Amino acid sequence: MNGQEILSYVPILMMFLVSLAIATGMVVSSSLFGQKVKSREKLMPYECGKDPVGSARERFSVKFYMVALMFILFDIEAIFFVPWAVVFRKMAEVYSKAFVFLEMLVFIAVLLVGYIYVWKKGILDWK
Amino acid sequence: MMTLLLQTSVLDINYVAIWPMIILSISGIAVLLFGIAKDPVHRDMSMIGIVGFVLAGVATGRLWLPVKTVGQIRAFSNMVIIDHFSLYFFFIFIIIGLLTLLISASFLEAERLPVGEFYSLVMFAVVGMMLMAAAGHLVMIFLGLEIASISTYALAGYRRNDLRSNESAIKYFVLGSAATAFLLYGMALIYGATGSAELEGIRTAIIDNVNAATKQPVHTELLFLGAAMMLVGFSFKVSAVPFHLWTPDVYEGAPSSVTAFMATASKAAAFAAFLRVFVFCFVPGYGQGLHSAWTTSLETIAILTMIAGNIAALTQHNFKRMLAYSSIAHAGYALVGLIADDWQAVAFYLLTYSITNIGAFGLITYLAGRGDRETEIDDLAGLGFNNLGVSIAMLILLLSLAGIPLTAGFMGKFIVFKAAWQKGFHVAVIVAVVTSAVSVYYYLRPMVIMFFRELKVEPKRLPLPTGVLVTVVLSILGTFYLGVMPGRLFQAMENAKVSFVQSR
Amino acid sequence: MLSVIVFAPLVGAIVLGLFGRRLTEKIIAVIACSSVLVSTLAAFYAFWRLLSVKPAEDGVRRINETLFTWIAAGSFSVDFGFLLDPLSGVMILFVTGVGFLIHVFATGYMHGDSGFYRFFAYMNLFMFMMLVLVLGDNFLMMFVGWEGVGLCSYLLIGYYFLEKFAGDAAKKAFVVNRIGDFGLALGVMLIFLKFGNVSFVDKANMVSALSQAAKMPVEPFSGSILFAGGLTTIAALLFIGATGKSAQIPLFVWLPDAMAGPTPVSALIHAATMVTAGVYMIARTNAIFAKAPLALTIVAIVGALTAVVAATIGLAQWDIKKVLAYSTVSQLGYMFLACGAGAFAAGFFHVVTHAFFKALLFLGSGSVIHAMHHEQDMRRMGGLQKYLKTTFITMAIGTLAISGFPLLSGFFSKDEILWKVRSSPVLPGSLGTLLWLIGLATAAVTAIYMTRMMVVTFLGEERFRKASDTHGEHHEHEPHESPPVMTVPLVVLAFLSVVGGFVGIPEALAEKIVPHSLHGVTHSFYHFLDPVFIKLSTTPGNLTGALAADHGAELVSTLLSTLVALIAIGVGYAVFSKQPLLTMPKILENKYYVDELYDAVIVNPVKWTSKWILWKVMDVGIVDGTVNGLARLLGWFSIGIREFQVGFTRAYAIFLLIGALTVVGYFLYFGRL
Repeated sequence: MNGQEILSYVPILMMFLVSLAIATGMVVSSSLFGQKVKSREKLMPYECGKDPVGSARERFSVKFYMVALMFILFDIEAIFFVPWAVVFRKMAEVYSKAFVFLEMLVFIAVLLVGYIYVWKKGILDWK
Repeated sequence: MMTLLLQTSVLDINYVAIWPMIILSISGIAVLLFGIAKDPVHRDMSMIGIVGFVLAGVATGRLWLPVKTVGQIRAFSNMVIIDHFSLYFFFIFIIIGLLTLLISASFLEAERLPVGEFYSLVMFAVVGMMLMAAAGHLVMIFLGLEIASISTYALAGYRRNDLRSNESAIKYFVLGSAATAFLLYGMALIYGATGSAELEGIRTAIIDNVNAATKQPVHTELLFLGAAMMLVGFSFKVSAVPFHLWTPDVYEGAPSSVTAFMATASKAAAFAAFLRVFVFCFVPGYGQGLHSAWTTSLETIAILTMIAGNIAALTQHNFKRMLAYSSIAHAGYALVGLIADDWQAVAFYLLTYSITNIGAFGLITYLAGRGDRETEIDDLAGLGFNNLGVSIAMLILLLSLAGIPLTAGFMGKFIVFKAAWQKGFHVAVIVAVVTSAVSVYYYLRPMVIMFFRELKVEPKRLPLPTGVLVTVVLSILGTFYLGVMPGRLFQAMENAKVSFVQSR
Repeated sequence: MLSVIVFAPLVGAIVLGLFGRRLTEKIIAVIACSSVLVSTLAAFYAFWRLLSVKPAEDGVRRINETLFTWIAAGSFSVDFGFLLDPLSGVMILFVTGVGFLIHVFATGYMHGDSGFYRFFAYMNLFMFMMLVLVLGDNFLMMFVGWEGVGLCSYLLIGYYFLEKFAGDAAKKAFVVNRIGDFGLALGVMLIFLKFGNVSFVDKANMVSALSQAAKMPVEPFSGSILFAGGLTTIAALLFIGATGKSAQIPLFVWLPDAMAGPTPVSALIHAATMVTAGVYMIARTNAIFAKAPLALTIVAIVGALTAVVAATIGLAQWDIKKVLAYSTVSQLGYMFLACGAGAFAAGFFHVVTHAFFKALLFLGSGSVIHAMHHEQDMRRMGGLQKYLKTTFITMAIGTLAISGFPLLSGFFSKDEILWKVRSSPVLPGSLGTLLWLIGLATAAVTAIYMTRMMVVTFLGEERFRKASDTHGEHHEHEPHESPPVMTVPLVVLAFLSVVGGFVGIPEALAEKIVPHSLHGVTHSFYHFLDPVFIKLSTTPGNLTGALAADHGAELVSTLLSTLVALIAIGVGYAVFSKQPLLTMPKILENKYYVDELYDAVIVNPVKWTSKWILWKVMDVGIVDGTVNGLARLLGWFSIGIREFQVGFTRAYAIFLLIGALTVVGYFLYFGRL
């Protein structure tokens, strides 16, 4: 790698340094300048303003994860619509519009099968 | 990226080229949907699976002649390359996938495990493997690898209530991901060094010593680093020493039919990608000694693999574990063919090994009985005369694994060793021959126990399930066919060599 | 036609293996014997056809039958084919013939055994493999048969698998044979590399490895040539293979233990056929050995040593089968001695006659064991001739034949070997004379221990009654003569042992005792085989070759060996009929060490070895020790490798990282070069 190439990465390095400086600066300055009054309330674990109930190490139902997983999956699949929409015109110049549209329909159909599977398997049921 | 592709080249969409994958995907989805019906019928799903594989096989076969005339078919902007190399591996994957379905049926039924998901996972894995074999682009290799790997991770842990199966899946997943990371890192570095992620582009860049993107000389350190990383990743996937440690644990814990699939198809797929990248891109004479760097390091790895695999197998008490070590050793033999730059030898070797091994594992699925428990070699005591057919079948398959003449195993080894010897890898070949001689000892030990030891308890074994029977018969026929009359296949592969040269 | 010979026993084996369990003993016996009979008849027919075939350019009659092309990879091709020439022709005649007789005998011997069908399935499978070995037209086919007979032998040694010693013996045979097979495999590989093919016969566009070897110059007689990768190296490697299969020093230890198998197995596999495969292989590859005088010398020395060591050990055995086993080892040594002296035909003639009389002796001992209800210890026999008349007479004939009693088959073949060694053109210096003396001594010992065996078993006082008392067992039956299915093969073999030698009477002797008109017959064996063996050239420094044409000296030698045999038989009879049990092994064996054996191993500079040359110590101490030590070493390695397998995923990940760093480091180091 020659020097020219490496120089082009310098801005990224700068960004790293600046963000590092800001973050450490804030933590350090607040601990330097802030008042320190230790009370019972302040030393309690923070839980959205409520008093904590029970242990923090509680087990959650696996259904939370399942739903979260499904959400992320279908969420990400939806992102694939964007590049397709961007190149739609250009692709339609080479292939027909109907073909390009059909391609996306196939994609959606596959997604749908996945959705049906998830549904029928009862992952979305909360019983 | 997509716009870029559109500007530079036509997005040659060619569905004919990927018919086998499409067929398998559709039938995989169909099986999955059948599986969630209220009252799934096992037989129907088996039928769909079998028909899917057969149709995929037909589609592959129909591609053979067109490829013969044009040399190779490229599709999707060089993402997919269909040539005789990929078609040959398609056949291996399809055969193994089909036989895996056959040997799994009875075990799934007995264990009351969901059938649909199992079959569809196998089929998706096969699709991933096909993509690996047909990849013309590093990203395609990665995608194929991930499709295949994730399916197999799930399959390894398929017996959800069994701790060993869980352990197997977790280990495979964690370590497999680590190895994939190496592989991906390697791919990125190679892309950086050569300016191209297309195999053809990498090859040209290395030969011309010009980075495809920057038009500057190829960056040697990056190239070497990338090649080393990819070598590590692939070595893990084929379970070569010292990246083999996961193999025995994973193979022992996974359900036997899944082990069979992993030991044969997964390994063959990894070798296919290995061959594509290393033999076709990192050619001798260019890249500042890259070729000699990877061949010499792989030679060392192959020697270590053969020695460690065979010697560790000597003292195993568990049949599956022994076969796991044996599969490590066999990876070593195939690597000997790889360093000789001879893809025909490697591919033929993998076929012989896969055909034999799937039969052996089929018998293990049957012998292990309920819950895959009786997999100790001692559990075979007295089987010999209790069930002569099964024990003789086992004997034949083990002899083939050991490489006794007249069997496929001998022919495979012979071809590989010959290729390597002619290329001057004498040390590797000598080690290979010596370790093969050692290996006969542990392959025949189960036989000694089958025939020469008294039956302890009369085990309650069910009659041989049809699927296993068919698999074992096919496997033995294949073993003898390849061992006695491999001429036609050799001929076909010699011709395939010509078609590959054209693509260079 | 050749396929019929080979595949008939395979059909039998498959039928018996698949359906045998449901068949009655009678049907099994018929299937097993008839499949071998078909093979035998086909062999005789094929042999008859061979006699009318026009000889090829090199003077050898050949019938070649190619079933299909087995391997065709580029320029290299191997056919799945059979070759019948005088060498394999003679071999299949006695393999199938003797094999058939032993099958018939076994139907009586194995009567009532629970694994009757299994036994015959293995036996038929063995016949198939043996015929593949003999008839294969290239090294690879021979190797298939070689491994196959090994496997069957292994299965049959361990036939009584419920007994621990049978399993151990099978394992030992297996491990020892592996070492030999390894040598053979390397030899074949070297042949392939050197000649580009592994064929025995020339085919279209291919000059066979053997023909190429025959045209090469004789390699010099020097130590370094052994490792030069030429013909001498090949020959030495092939000979290592032969020492394993044919039980020669240092790999002979498995054969005595192999007697754990049923007696017909000992007769068929471990006396008449399989163990002679090594001799057959050397005769088959004589074109290679003839060009490697150093290898021939090694063969001759090893053969002679084996002959004398095994014979002396045989003197001190009490187990009737062990005596015969050591005798087999010793006789095989003779055959190798002959091959090493360049007299391939003489060695091969001994293979044939030995097959007759040794099969006879083994089957006879089987008959004795059968009669004694599986008692094998000669100390608990004695006086059996009264009860087992046929067995006694036939075995006596066998004993006389093996001892070299004039005009019996063993006399002619052994005499020819001794003379050929005496007048060998290839052994350096006067080594021929030395080995001849060893051979003569061995002949004397052979006669003594065989006579001892006969006397202790059949003559003298009836010790089995006493023995049964002391052992608390109750013998209800008197010893009884075996049924006709067992005695008839004995009689046939006895007949063959008597007349088998008449086709190969040595020339000098024939001139004196045979009418001139019959010379064609009496020397037909050698005439017939002669074209197969290429001409030997005299090794520089050889002192004995000049004797070859001296018929007078040959007659003197014959007379000498006859005298030795007769005196030895007489001595043996005199000593052992008086005191059959006198020779308690310890004293006798210890004496060996100091006296006879000491001389025998003086070649070995390490003198203390001779002190341990006792069969037990040699067996258990040296060879077993080496084998076990090797196994233990491998075991340690194996456990060492397993140590990595701790089972923790994180540990594996660390190894993955270390391995990756090593590879990357190697690449980067390499890249900077």
